[in-house]
Amino acid sequence: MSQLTACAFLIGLVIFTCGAAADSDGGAQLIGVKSIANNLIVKGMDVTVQYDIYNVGDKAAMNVQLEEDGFPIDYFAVRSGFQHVRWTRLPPGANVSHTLILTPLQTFVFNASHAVMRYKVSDEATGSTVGYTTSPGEIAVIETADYDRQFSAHAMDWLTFGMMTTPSIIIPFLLWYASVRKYSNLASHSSRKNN
Amino acid sequence: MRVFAVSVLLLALLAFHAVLAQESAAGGASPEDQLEEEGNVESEGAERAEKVPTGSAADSGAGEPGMASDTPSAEQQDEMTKLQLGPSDKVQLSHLFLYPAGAGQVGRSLDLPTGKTIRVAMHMRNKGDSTFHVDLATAAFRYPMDMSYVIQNFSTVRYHGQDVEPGREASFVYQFNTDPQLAARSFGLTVQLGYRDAEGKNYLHSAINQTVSLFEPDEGFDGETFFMYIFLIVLAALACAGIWYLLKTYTPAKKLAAKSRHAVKSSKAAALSADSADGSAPNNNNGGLSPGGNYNLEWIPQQHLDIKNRRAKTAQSPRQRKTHAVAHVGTVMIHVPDAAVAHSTMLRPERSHSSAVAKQEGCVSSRMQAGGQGPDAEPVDRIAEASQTSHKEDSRSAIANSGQSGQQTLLALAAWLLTLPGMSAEQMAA
Repeated sequence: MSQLTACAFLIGLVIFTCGAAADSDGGAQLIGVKSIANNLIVKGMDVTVQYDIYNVGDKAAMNVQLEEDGFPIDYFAVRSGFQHVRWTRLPPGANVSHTLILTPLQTFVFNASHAVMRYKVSDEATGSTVGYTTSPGEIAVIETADYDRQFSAHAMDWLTFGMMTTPSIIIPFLLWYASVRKYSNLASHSSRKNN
Repeated sequence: MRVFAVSVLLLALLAFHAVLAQESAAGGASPEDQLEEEGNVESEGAERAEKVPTGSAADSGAGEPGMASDTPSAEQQDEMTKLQLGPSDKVQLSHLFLYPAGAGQVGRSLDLPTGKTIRVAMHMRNKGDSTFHVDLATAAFRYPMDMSYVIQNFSTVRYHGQDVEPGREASFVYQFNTDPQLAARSFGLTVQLGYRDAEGKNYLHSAINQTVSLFEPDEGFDGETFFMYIFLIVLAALACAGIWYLLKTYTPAKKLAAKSRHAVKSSKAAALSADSADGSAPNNNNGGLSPGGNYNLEWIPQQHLDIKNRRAKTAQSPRQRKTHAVAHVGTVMIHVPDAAVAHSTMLRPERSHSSAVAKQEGCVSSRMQAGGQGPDAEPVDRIAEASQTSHKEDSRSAIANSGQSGQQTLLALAAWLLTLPGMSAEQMAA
């Protein structure tokens, strides 16, 4: 009997301590990292925005939603990916990635803000927890001409250059060639005549 | 053993002191504790362990009266106020290493590579009733035994007052670079998030506050080592080549003579034997060497070795040879003054007409002396007559009729250059 009570007391103690040691609240914790994969953001060229969500909590996060409303429709056209994504379940220690590809429509300096995550910290939780992802900060969209000046093949420029430098090379060559042909003809002609 | 026990005791005291300091700072501590911490920054090592207990003993023993005697100035008080930054108990922080992934997890020690960018994500949960504004994040490498002693401060990243409403969470990324020179050392890493509450009170909350050991990552391909090996191989090859060359150069002369005796089988033997002292045996070529045995004669062309036979081979007097060359060159020289002939590079345009005429006469006279030159007689005649009138037309016909190839003209030029002194004498005579 005393053993039973002792056991019950111990179990109760364990449960109590488990409940009390809720420094981390015991539920899911989602870290959202939003980053822009481009080195240069050019008007008319794709911008890749990557979202990584990590669960650093103890329990699975349920009904994870990612909402991205920070790219206005006037300034960015969505090429690929969704701005509102949902995952049913994210286990503890796991992570998910999502990519959004946009095209800037204008040249401007843009403040890329955070996206919003909503999730339930556990199965039993009543309401959703709202979390913010990281913010990439200010991004500058540059003109296509500036980008091309640095990175394009400049094929037309090379063609024009070739056409403009051709006379300086061709004319002396033709003069030389005519001269060589004339005098080699003369030399061979005279040698034939003498021999 | 005793020293160890004493140091353990001191560490425990230090930990207790640090905990006290933090709690008191959170609750709005007295400035004395902060001043105590800052005052102890300069010393390190074993001295630290001994100073700390006296400091803390003085602090606990003396208490208020001892400290109140040193009234801090206004400037110092501002500094001290700034230092009173601790965490808020309404905020819960957790962290995750993005690079290197999985560092510092449960059961694994926190090891960071040197020379890399370390990325940390911090998660902040607002459990309070008012909005917090997150301002910055900063990090530092500290002395592991005394976390108030900073070894390296990392840059502060600003988050521009990002709002975190009550009940909400936010994530922040912080990154810093570890210097390659810090390999194989352990530091106390602190990564702190700075935020303020609705009233404007600042907080500095440590997301990471633990000892980390740095290691040098294995790169795989080390360019430095690779090229060092190449350099050593080349040095060894060079040394071998040098030794081989030395051995070859300084072997005794007997070996060299024996080698060349085997090698020489040409008719040079006959020529050399003619020059030798006895001049009898045709095969006594002295092993391809000179009669004195000093130098090697194998490389000298045959015509230079036949010194005594040179006259016999060419059946022409020097005088005849000279005028023959002049005749050849004369055909080319006549049309020089007027025609700009690019292909005749050996021509000298500044020669006057009179000299050309003199050469003509010389040509004719020499021709008569020699008694006919051969196939070139005809064209020389024609050129001599017609050159007075128009040079330009004659130039082309002269070249056409002379039947000269490029090589012949070059040889003629060389002969002409050799007989130049003779020609000037001729002109003076004529």
